[in-house]
Amino acid sequence: MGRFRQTWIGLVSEVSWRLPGWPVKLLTAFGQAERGSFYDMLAAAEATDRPDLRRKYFEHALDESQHAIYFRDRVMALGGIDRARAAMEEAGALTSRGIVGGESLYERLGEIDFLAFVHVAEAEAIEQFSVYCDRELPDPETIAMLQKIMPDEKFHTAYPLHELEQRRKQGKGKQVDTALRRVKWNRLKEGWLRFSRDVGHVMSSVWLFLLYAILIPPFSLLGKVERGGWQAPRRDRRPLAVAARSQG
Amino acid sequence: MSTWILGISALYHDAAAVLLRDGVIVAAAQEERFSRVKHDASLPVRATKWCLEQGGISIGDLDHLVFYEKPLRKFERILANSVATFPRSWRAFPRQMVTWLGSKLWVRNQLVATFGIQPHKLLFSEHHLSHAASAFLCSPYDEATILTVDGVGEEATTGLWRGTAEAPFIEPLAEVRFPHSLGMFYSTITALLGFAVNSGEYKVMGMAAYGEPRFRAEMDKLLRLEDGGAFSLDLDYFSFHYHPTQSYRPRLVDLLGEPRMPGEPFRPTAIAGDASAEAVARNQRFADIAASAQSAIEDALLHVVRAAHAEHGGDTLCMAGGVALNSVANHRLAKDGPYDKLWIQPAAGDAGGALGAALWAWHCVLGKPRAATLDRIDLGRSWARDQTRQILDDLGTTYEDLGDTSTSTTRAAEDLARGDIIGWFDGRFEWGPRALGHRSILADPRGADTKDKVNARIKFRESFRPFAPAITEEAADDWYDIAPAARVPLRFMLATPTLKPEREGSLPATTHLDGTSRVQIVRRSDHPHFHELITAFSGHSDTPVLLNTSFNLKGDPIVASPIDALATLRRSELDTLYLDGFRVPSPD
Amino acid sequence: MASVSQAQTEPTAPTEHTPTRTESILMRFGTVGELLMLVSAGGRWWMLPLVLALVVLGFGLVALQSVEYIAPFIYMVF
Repeated sequence: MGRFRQTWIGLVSEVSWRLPGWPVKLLTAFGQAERGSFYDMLAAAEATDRPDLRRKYFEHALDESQHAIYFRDRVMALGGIDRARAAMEEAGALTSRGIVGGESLYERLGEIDFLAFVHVAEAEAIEQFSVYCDRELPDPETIAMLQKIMPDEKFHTAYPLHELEQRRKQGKGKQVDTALRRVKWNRLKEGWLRFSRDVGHVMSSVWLFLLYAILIPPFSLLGKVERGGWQAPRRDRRPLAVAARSQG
Repeated sequence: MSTWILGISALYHDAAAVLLRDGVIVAAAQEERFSRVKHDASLPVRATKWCLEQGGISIGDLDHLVFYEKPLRKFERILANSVATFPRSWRAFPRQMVTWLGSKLWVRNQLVATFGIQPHKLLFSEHHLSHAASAFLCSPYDEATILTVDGVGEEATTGLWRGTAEAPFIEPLAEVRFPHSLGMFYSTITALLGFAVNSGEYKVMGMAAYGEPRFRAEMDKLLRLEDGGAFSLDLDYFSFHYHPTQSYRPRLVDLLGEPRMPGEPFRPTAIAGDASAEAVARNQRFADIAASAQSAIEDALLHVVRAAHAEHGGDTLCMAGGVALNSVANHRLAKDGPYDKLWIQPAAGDAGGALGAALWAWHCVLGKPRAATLDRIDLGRSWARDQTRQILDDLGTTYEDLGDTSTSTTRAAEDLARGDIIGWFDGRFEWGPRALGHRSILADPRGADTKDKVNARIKFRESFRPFAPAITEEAADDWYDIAPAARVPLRFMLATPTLKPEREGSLPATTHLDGTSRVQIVRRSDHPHFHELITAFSGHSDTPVLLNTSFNLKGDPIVASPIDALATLRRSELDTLYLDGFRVPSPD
Repeated sequence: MASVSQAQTEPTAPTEHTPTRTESILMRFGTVGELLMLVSAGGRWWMLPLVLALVVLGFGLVALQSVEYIAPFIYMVF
């Protein structure tokens, strides 16, 4: 990876790690990503028809599961997240990931792109963790934890790379290059989309808050919280065939 | 030509898909088992795909796809409630509306785009109607009173219904509306006790046994029982109806004391260990709060069903909705309630809405007569042995192929009698949140340290949580005092009888502090292999009982596929895995 | 591995019917119609303006989702 990227990560991290609440948020996100990755790798191990890769995906999955526990333990030890989030973390809840939209990551990408993805994503993680450790941004226990998982992460970048090199030797160099390019491009694209969605979310919330503040007050006297106790069920006068098709 | 109906629940809690062929369940599964996201609420694409495969059909062959609730009525309720709680709902309103306006409002579009179903084939049931249908239409009873209790559906939080032998099959009698909700009451206490809402409720139930209900008077302030089986919440203590993440107001803390921190070690008097006196007192308060909330919800349910019985008569009660998963409360209903017969749909939570929606369409909309009852719950996916063998070989796993089942049960019984803790993977996975002998972790229930070992080293969960015993039907009455009405719910591990006095102390690993156990009665016809295994174990131990807990680790959904099982074996200190006739010892 | 970045993609369930763009829009209008009928039938007529305003905003949100690559620029304008 380029020196430019490292410097960039370094500069951003120097600021972000000092923001209150940020380290825990970041560690939570890493923990969630590791857990999601556990399921992604397990799904790949299930779906691939290559015995050697199946074993590697499986071992990789087990590493990720362990890493997720390390991250969760750090998050719980550092505290500083709200109660609801802490309870979710404590219960080991996964907010999303695994099989999404009916397909696992492996099924969506196919073998070569999946390998390229794993290699690129893991290399980026190593780079990020190294910057954090070199600059001594996290607390000492977290640094020790990151250093503990680093050898695993190196295995996670090495075997897909080795596999891609093998394909190159088989004359599939062009395919491999395309896959690597596509994966990197997609990661940029998805980063932008994520940003776009986040901006969208914030802006929508702002609009909705304005709507709430302006439009609801006149009606707030008309709305009443339901009283307790038994009430007669709402009678639907429509024929059943019509009512059954209705969303309301 | 068969009629195919697919029921779907999604977008709120546990998503699931259920396929009916002429009213008979062909396949039923929660999306979480496939997606590996616990309590996955997204549209059940993977579960649906598998259901269709299992039925040997494609989406075009479906006659109806039925969604388990009416989304627009839910939207209207949320909106009306936001207006009514203005300005306190300022945080919740933008959050809720972003998800609703961005996606949830357009369920019809999503269903058509995701599943490729023709719009005219879509039907929409109602949330509590789906629960009621799931509770009654696959029960063995022709007529019943039906009670549905959960957090909230569209408007209703509690529904009382009459189930009839002929059309219309289900008639609404009365309902209690949001925010007055027994489910939300219990979830609020769950949050106060530092557990995740919608998943930690079991832990509160487990905690309750360590306490005394000394906060009952306080609970009676929160949850008021009124004439005619009615109840209401004192909303001054709650904020779940207008706050996105906080379920209670500071007044509740004034009433019950500081909340428990998530992850805080639980050290009440009974399991104090080396905790300080101050910590023990604090934890005992949490246990007492749990016990008080449990006692309050039991009394509230009894209050409701007694009034229902007084007004509508009958001898049968069918139940569903998340609150019906409270097995301790169910036992109270069976023991002290007015009904002789009790039937609870095993997937009583929102996943079960998929089953109810499909059954509603078949019976109530299409007018078909009552048909099948739900006895076997192994309705999920199974894996071919060749596929499993391939995976075992590829992973370089050491294993023995035991071939037929009876060799498996014999060997597993020997392992168990020796004190091993085993993973038991047998055929299709279960419908509902309980592992009932198809994806289970099993152990000898006689060992004094077994409970701690399974909690700490296998499932990595809190040490106070109890384990359930599975017992053969033939032996059940020799070991447990079983209220007649609890007998059927116990097939699905949905009640908590007490060990007979003469057996006291004999099953320390599966007997909770208060002498109760969440028993599963295993019938040969429902679980032939599991029954055979328990019988074989009894041959070694004179104990026709096994400790049975779900085959998963903390935070994971229950194991579905062989590879999930193998990963669980590697990540825990399980001794041996029995995988559809393959015996896989732990590599350590 | 930071799979946080994986965006959701459309599922590939077997399909008997793929809605056209026009059909999707009509379905959304159908939903809005059902919603307005529901609200008025329930006697909460006073909620109609609020529902209408929300629905307009809802259509805006859906429209922005379809151009999510340039959405941040659009937000900058508004």
